[in-house]
Amino acid sequence: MNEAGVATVTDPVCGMEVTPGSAAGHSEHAGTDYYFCSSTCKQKFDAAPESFINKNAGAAAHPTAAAVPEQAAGCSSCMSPLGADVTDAEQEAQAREYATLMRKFWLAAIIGVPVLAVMFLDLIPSARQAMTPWHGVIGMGMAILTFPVLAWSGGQFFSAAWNNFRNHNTNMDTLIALGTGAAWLYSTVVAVAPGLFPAGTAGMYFDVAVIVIALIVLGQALEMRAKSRSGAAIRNLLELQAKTARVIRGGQEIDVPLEEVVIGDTVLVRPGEKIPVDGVILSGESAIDESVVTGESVPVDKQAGDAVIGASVNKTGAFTFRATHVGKETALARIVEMVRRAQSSKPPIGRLVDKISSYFVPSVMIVAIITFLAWFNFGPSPMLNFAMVTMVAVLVIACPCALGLATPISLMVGVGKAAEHGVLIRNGEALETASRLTTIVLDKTGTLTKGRPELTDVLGLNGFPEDELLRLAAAADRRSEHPLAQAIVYGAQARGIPMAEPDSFNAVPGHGVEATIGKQHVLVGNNKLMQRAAIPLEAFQAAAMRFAEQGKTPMLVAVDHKPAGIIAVADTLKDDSIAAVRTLQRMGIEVIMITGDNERTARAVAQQAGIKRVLAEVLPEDKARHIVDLQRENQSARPGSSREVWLVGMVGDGINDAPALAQADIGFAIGTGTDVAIEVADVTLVGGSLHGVVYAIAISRATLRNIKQNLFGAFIYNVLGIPIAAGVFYPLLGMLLSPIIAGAAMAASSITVVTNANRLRFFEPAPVEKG
Amino acid sequence: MAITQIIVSAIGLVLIAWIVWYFWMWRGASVSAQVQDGMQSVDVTVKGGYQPASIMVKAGQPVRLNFTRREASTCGEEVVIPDFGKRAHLPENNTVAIVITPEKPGEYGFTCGMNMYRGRLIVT
Repeated sequence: MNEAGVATVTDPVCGMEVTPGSAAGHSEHAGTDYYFCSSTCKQKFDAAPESFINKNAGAAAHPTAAAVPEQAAGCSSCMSPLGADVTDAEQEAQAREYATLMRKFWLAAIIGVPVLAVMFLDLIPSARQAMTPWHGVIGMGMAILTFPVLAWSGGQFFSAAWNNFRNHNTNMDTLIALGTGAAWLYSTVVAVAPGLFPAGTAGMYFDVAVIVIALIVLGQALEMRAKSRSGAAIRNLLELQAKTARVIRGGQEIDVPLEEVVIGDTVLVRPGEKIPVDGVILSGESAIDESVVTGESVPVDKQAGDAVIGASVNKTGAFTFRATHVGKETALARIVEMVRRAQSSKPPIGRLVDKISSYFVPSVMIVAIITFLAWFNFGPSPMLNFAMVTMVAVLVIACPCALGLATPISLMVGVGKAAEHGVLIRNGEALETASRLTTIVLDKTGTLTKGRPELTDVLGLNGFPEDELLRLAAAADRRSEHPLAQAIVYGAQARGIPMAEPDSFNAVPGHGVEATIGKQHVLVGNNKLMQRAAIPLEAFQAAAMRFAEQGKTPMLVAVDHKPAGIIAVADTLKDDSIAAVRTLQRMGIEVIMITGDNERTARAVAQQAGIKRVLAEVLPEDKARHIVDLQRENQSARPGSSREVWLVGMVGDGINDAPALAQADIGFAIGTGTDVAIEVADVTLVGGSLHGVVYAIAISRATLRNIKQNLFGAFIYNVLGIPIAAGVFYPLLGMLLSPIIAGAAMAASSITVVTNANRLRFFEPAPVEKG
Repeated sequence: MAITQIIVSAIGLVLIAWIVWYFWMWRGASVSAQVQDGMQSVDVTVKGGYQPASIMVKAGQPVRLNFTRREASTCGEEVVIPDFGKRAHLPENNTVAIVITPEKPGEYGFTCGMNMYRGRLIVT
């Protein structure tokens, strides 16, 4: 118990803080009480209490020393305090909330029908005459009938408005509570004591109160249904790890669970297996696919002394390595931690409608007071009565009926429209935010480029025929599984060059291949391969350098121990990348490329794509930090600008991009990329083309414009009604607010909003500029 | 102008001034954290906003913020302290503790998930 009187204890299983009074479970062990955040945690504890007590030694006794858990050990519901995971329970709660809102809507709608009918009858002179003797009874009946709508369907607006008031806030809830509350009270007083009202002002507004609540609750329900959040990302990340490791202990190979691998263990990895933890190769060599961690598609050749990364895949050879990082220290664990951190540090974005309301509501209150004073000082007699009526009328008319629908209905149309074009937007907030992006950061490999090497150039040296060079190199590489070799084989096939079977073939890991085709001896590989065969490098150098400067990988070819030529391969741009980049720039968005590649390759690719700013040689763990820097830079470069206006988007596909995607204001995942990237991201581009980014921003801008029009449409009729309610036309026309005006404003704003939102269905983005 | 009219008008003008001050200019009073065993601790109630919304703490010492959401409205169901990378889900009527250690003096904001409720952590 801390000194302020709030008792919290630590769940011994997951480390989460719980209050004993509301804990989901309780157990007693060795004379001490333990409380749990969920029944799952309790079950785990009950199964093996000692293991948890020792792990969290002292935590239960000193609750103040416990922080929010860094690692929620296998207790899924405990992850929600970190915002990293949305549990089934939470999804259920959302579903329940939606069902409740829909019931509230139906109550308001069902009661709204007879109320509206009576109000319409009141507009027909003959019916009005027939009802006049029953005026008081009908009024009282409607007051009783509509009360549950205000109390239950709209109850949350009143409690929220009151709480907001106490905290000096006003928002949409305040406006609704004020408008509907004023309408109901005023109408009830009219029903009970019509004599208090000056002639022509004794109108009832029960329909306004009920329909406003019905439509706004419907809007909230629609918004609730559209709400979904990233959840499984971290769980999936952890599943990437190997489950067991083959460790050599006491001269014996034994399989142990991953958690039992300790630093210094010698681990054996066979071809096709996942590397369990981070370490350094002791013996053996292999090509290792590290794409899962680094995002680079080309397997890396490694030998003794080289570092290996846990969760990467061993492709070709067997090797042993010494474990250097285990558990939370591995590269993968650090990525998990970064994703968690990034998801937690993203600043929230305010909702437009609440921002408008925070200015609008106090303004309306002030106008209402001014109205009162004007009538009280300068109005006709009875002054007090006129002053009261006009003041309340201002509050009644100020609340726009379509307010609640203005945002969700446009968002639903916008999100649906985007999905038709293969752009999956996670929720409405993402759509609102995407429209304000000012910077887009593009990952290079797999995002701007195809993500796999392709044959780009064939250069014969000393007059060696190029077709012959490619024919021999392709034949030599035919049996190799190395992606660079495969690029040459596919390139030769694409050019229709016939390929012979090699008579002998030998892959030299980390170097290249050596083959005999017919009578010819062929070497295809890097500098090291040529040096090994004692072939002079001078002939290759100038051309190889030129290719490297263009961001290409030169493969040297020697035939019969003489330099024959160079074949260059490169990860080339996707067909539409250039056009997409240009279109983004034309939309006023700064495009930046980020990559782990060296500066030279990065510059070459960026130049082809028309990108000026490049962040090269960025370590995987630094990508998220660069996004933060850009977010700050945007802010400081434009002093005084609010956060909402300058936002950074990130487009990526790999697991290494996940922290950056989570950190960015909007993360775009390439749909052909990894599941984790997709789950972390706010927007998924199904087709994999960068045009999806262009489309997502275009549709979100159109949607936001539509929302603003809707809010304008929702407010304008009611704002126009305010002077009428205040009685500015009274001196000239004898006109005050009547139920007809209130009803017309209500209908006009709703029709305007629904019609305008539907206009979005016809949205087509501006034609894409051709590269 | 009758005396009642002058009085009522004066009250009305004061009311307008009060609305302007109450909703637009109010900044709230600061509450200092309690210190026990080197841990600074503050209870924050989430109900239409943060109470207290302005919290004074000392730099270099861990701060424990005990958030308790006492409302059904879902506005405040998430609390975010962006500068410290903390985001917590606040179940209704449960206390969730967030521990941070501000190293540098300055003002750090905490808000709800939609940036509607706002609080400040003043580090001295």
